[in-house]
Order: sequence, then C-alpha cells, then structure tokens
Amino acid sequence: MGEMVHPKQIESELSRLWKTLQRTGKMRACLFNFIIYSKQWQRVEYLDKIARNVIQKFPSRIIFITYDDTCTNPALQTAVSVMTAEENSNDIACDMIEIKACDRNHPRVPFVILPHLLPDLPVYLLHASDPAKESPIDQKLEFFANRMIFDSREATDLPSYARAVLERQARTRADIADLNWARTEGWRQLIASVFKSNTELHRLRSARKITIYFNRKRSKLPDHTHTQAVYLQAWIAAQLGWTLNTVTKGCFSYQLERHFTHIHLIPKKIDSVPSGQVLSLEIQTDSDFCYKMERNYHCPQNVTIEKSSTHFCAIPFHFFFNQDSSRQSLVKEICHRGTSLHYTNTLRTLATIKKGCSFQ
Amino acid sequence: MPAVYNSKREGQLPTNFVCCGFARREKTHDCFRSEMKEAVRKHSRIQPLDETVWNSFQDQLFYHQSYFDEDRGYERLAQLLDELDDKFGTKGNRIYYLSTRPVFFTTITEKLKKHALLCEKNNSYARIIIEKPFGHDYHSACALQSELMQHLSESQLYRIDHYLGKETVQNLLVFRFANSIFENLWNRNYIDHVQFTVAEDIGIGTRGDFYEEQGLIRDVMQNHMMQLLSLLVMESPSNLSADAVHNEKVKVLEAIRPFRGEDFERWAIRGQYDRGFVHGEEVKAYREEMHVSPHSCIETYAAIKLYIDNWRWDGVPFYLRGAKRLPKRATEIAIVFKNPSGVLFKTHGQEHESNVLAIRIQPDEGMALKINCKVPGPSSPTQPVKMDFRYGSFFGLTPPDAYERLICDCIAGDSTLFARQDEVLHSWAFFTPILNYWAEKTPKEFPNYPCGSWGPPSAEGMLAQDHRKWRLI
Repeated sequence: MGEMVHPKQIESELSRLWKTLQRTGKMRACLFNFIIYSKQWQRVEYLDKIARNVIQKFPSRIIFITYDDTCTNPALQTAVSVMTAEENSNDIACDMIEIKACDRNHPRVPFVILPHLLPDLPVYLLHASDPAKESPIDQKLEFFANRMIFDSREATDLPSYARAVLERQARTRADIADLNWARTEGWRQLIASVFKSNTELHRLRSARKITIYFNRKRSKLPDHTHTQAVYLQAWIAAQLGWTLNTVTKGCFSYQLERHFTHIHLIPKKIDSVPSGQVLSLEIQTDSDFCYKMERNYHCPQNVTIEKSSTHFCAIPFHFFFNQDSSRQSLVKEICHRGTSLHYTNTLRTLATIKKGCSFQ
Repeated sequence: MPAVYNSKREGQLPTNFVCCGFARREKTHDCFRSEMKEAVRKHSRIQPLDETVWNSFQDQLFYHQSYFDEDRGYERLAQLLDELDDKFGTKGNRIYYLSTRPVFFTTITEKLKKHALLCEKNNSYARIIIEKPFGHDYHSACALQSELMQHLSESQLYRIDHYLGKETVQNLLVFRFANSIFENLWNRNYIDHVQFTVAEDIGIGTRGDFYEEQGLIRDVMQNHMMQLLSLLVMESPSNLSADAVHNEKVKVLEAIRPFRGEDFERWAIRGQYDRGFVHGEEVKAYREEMHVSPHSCIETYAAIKLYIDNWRWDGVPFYLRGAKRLPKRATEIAIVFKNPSGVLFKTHGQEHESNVLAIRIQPDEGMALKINCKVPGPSSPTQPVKMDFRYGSFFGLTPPDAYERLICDCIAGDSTLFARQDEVLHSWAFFTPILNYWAEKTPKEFPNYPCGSWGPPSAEGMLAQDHRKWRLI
C-alpha cells in the first residue's frame, strides 16, 4: 500500500505528493474515476496489472478497494500514492487511493469514496467479484457508476452471474462490460471472418455438432477455466438465433425451428497457453462440411483453419490474434462506452439456463 | 477581528482608524487587546501573526463595557468616541458592526440614535453592519426593516452576506460581462438546467439551539444561494454602481415563479441527517446532537426546484440544494448545457455527455469546463474531458477573506456587495410559503439520509422525474 493516511487527509496528502513530484516531469492526468473492487485479496496483483494497462492510454483516478476477510483491524486502512503505467516511468501518472476493508468496517467504504470521485468525469466500476453474491457496498457504489465492468472469471455459477449482471444493468442503467468477454474477442473475430459470406453463415447455422476445447490448466487465481468456452458457445447461439433446449454435463443443446445443434465443451491441459483460453473449435454441419480451427500451441496467437467436406478440401489458412490482443481487449472493454449488444444477447442466452442445471 | 487585522496588515485600512469593542463583560483595554490577539493568532488567514503590525494595531483597539439596553452605557460610549475622534482624527465617522443576536438589532439601533451616535454631520458618516438572519420569515423581515428604518436610513444600513465578499462570487460578474463568448449561450436556448450546491461535511456542532430556530433554508438558501442565483442570471447593469447592480438582482428575484399547489410537494424536498460516516468516522444523527430535540423536524437538507419567468430563462429549471453532513464541503454552481445533436458521433445508442461549466465557489476556487473529445485511435468514440482553471495555480496569492473586502467596502461607503432591503424581502417572499407549508406538515420519514451520503432518495427523485441527476461534486 502507498502512504497510509486518515480518510480525511486523502486530498491534502495527494496535493502534497504532487507538489513533490512537480519537478520530476510527471504529469497528473485523469479521464475518469476508476473504482476497482475485489472481495479477494489474492487478486490484487492481477487487478493492479489491469489498472496499469488501463492508465497507459486512459489515465484515471484509481480507487482500489480490497476486502480482506482475514483482517481483524476495525479501522479502515486508507493510503494514497501515485501510479504510473510502468514502474519508474516519467510519463503520465495518476492518483491512486487504496482502501482495505474487512467485515467490521465494510459499510464505511462507500462514504470514504464519495468525496473523492472527481466531478464531471465518468465513474467506471470494475467489480471483480461475483455479482450474484451481492453486498450492501455494491448498491451504493453502483449508483454512481456510468460503467460497470465485471469479471466472470470468478463466477461460480455462470447463469446466476448472467442473471445478476442483467438485473444490475436494468437497475442502474449503467453500461456493462466483462473482462472475460473481452478475452473471447479474438475467437469471435475469427469466427466472424471465417463465416462471413451468406453461404458460410448458412452452413454454420446448420451445424449439428460444435466442439470447443478449452484449457483446463489452473492459474494462481481462484477462477473457472470453462467460462470463456461457455461464453463463446452462447455467443454463437445468440447470434444465430438458436434457443437453448437442454444442458447436460459438458453439452449445450440448441434448437432453431426443427434443427438441433449440440455444443460440447471439452477440457484439455496445455501448459503453453494461458488458463481458461479456448484452444480449438470444430464444427460439423448438416451438409457434411467440417471446420477445424486450432491454436498452434507453440505460437498461441496463430490459429490454423481447415475446411473440408466429403467432396472438398480447402488449403488450410491462418488467422493471427493480435500479439497484445488480450491486453488491448481488456483496456477496450473497460474504457470504451456503451454496452455490447452481442454481450447482452450472450448473457440472455445464459440466463435461460435453469437454476440447478450443471454443465461443469 | 482577524479581518480587520489583515486589512491593517495589507494597508487597506485608513491611517485614522480605531476599533472599539462593546460588550457586557467588564474588562480593561489591555485585557481586550490580549483576547483579540489570541483570536487573530488562531483565525487569521495570514500566518504567523506579525508582531510589529499587531503592536501598532493594538494601540488602536479599545474596549467599552455596557449592556445593550443601558442608556448610561451609550452616553459613556459617545464620550469615549469623541475622545478617540480628537486623538486619532477619525472625524466623527462611525461603523457599528452588530455581531450580536438579531433580537438586539432594534434595541441597539434605537439607543445609538437616541444618543446621537447615528448622526451624519459635517460630512461624517454613521453606518451599521448587521449579519444574517435578517428576520425569520417575510413578516418578521418586514417588521425588522420597519423598526430599523425608524432610526436610520437605508443608506446607513449594511446587511452583510459574506458570500458576496468572496473573490469567486465577485468573479461571476467579471466572467459574464468581461467575456464575450458566454453571453450568447447564457439563456434558455442553450442551457438545459443549472444546479447550485452548498454542501458542508460538518454537522451543527454545539449550535443546536440556534439551528433549531433556523434550519437549512433560513441558514443558507434564503440568503447565500439567492445571492448566487441573482448574480448568475441577472442582466448586465448599466454601470457598476451599487444601485445599478442591486436593481438587476432584484429583477431576478421578482421573476422567480412562486410555488402553488403541488409545487410544494414536488419541488421542495427536505431532509435530516441520520447516523453515518463522514471521512471514515462514525458521526451521530441530527436528533442526537447537543441542544436538539429528539423529535426535531428541522431540516438539515433542502433541495428546491424553481423557475425564473423572464425572457432569458423561461423554462430553464434551477435546482438548489444545501445540506449538512454531506460527503464533502463544497459550494458550486454548475451550468449544464443542452445536449448536442448526436447524429455524427453516437455510439451504441449513447447520448453525448452534456457540456458543463462548473464554477467552484469554495474550496479549490476556480472553474472547469467539460467538453467531449475524440479518443485517440482509428475509431471515433468520444470521451468527456475537463478544462480546469484554479485560482491558486494562476494567481498564487491568497485572496483576501470575504470579511476583509466587505468591511473595507463599508468604510468606503460602497454597498454593492451588501444585501439591499428589497433583495432580502423578495427572497423571503419566495421561501416563506415553503417554510409555512413544512411547518404544517410533520415529516414522518426523518431522519432520511445518512451522514456522508449525498442526501435523501427523494432529492434524487425530484431530478429523476425530469430525467436528470444531481452532479457529483
């Protein structure tokens, strides 16, 4: 944590810090208020990295709230510091206010934050905890948020998560976004480019079996590796207008009029690819076309696409995800305005899964 | 006293100047000087106390003991002031600053008149400065005015409203009338609405008995906020004389649409603070404060929506809110402009952010203008950004305290920055019906906002019904 201060002294301490930095060439900048809220202190390092990625292009006042359920100190711990995109950088720097809360002082947190939200600038709330498990602090913070960014990586129950996010959106009218949704951007772009023409789209719509392989390798963070795969299949279904029929372990069955499609999610463990990422996609259509899109595990940005049928075999071609696509997608997801219609449609598809249905 | 001392320190006071304290306690001149020194040391805006300046200043400080209604006391005062005239050459010029409860204004004025202390002869002047509250409601304000006018003229009476002495408030006229770019936008064609906020993070402290008689409207809205409103929306005066400025301000107050019928429920919201957290610390509810009734119905939060029915402002809502125990201390005016056409740059069905001109009266005095800019990159999303001007960063000097400016203006005979009688009465004419309406209805939901929050949900609802929101400040 930065310089520990009493909440009353946050602004004066920030002013003092900036006065001492005046001659170092650092420029103070802010485009929006960025509140990061996590109930899991283990995610602090990960969220800190996200914050630094964001401020590289979008400097903001960062208010970082962590909730430590092991802490027994009744006093709210607050600290201030200056954050740069990279350590020891001389470029643009941003205010950072850190708040460490626990059970005993949790209710105070929104009241500590309110005076420090910079006026006339948007408030973006990165809610890095499962919104299906609501706490009183959430409602108070959400009231001021122009944009709420969730991270479904942590969601135990994705359908409940989807319902909770949609309900929050309806309640607050804020834009919504999801970091894990952003992580599927590459695959969505790939699928959109492969099935661009009406012919290809028709074939996709008539798919009878889709298999998505995802990386079940665990990360250091407590998360759920199947989430991106579930998102991807729900997105495909939502875009094609399929209705969810049944959900069984590892399989989603959809229907469009009299046509049925089964989507299977299969875990695999690949050490060279980040945890939870989609590894490959296989699509088999009614007209016996087969599409296979597979990551090169030694160069994970490189995806090889093979297309064939009983009478036809195309030369494989490649699609490259941006080298830095994950970081850029996350920043874009956090900072750009509006709510993706594709994302809300995906959530609506997931929200139709009945409670108690398990696909894991 | 700190204001007088600082004026002396900055060379703003005339050389021939004497200050005499008048109160009921027995004390010597030196004892009084010593007390004043401590007060100045503690409260002066310029620190530390300059001993050289003080030593010179205290030679012009005296004390006179009397009760406010004691004739003999005023006779002795007249003698003392005549002696000081001879010694310091003050030529019979008098300013009486009544730093007392309003209940004594009439008595003191009457006694001063009776003992020829308000006579203006041989080019001398005699003025009285009184502080708010100027009455309790419209009728008491009229009665006070009538009583005072039996003993002095309007030109001798200076009603001090310290907001008018603030540099940022004085800058409102300069901003509006010394810059051509804003005048064409300063009307109903371009402005969507205006928000006034006077927020305090402190409670009522030990002033419970005083506050129980006042409430938020009497304490802040009827006076300070109406002054801000009239300066912000008035027409340009023909010159900067006191009368010319006052006349334009009064025209604004005359044009405020009075409340009728449903307006009292829809457009006037009140609140009272409950327990909560301010700056991380738990604080008590208003009804738990010292000298406050546990069943008190006095408002510590008020939000009002009003309209000014004139050509310039027809149809533009003005939202005023003032409160105790909000998350931070701030006084601010926000002019929210109408949304631009979103034809070109609309993204995902989002409207553009409105342009906002925020005038920060205190603290962090200055102004900020919110505009929309393009986000660098190949696509064209827009992002609101702020252009910010801060007094402290540009001018460097600590501006004079409001009271310093006002006292010097009173010495100079300039009443521009003081409230005129008709301003006070028009303001009371608008608020008295609201206060009467509230007095007749017990608020069942009090307390209705926790300390440290931005007020009761009903205040948000008042703007929400107009599809607007209170700004975060």
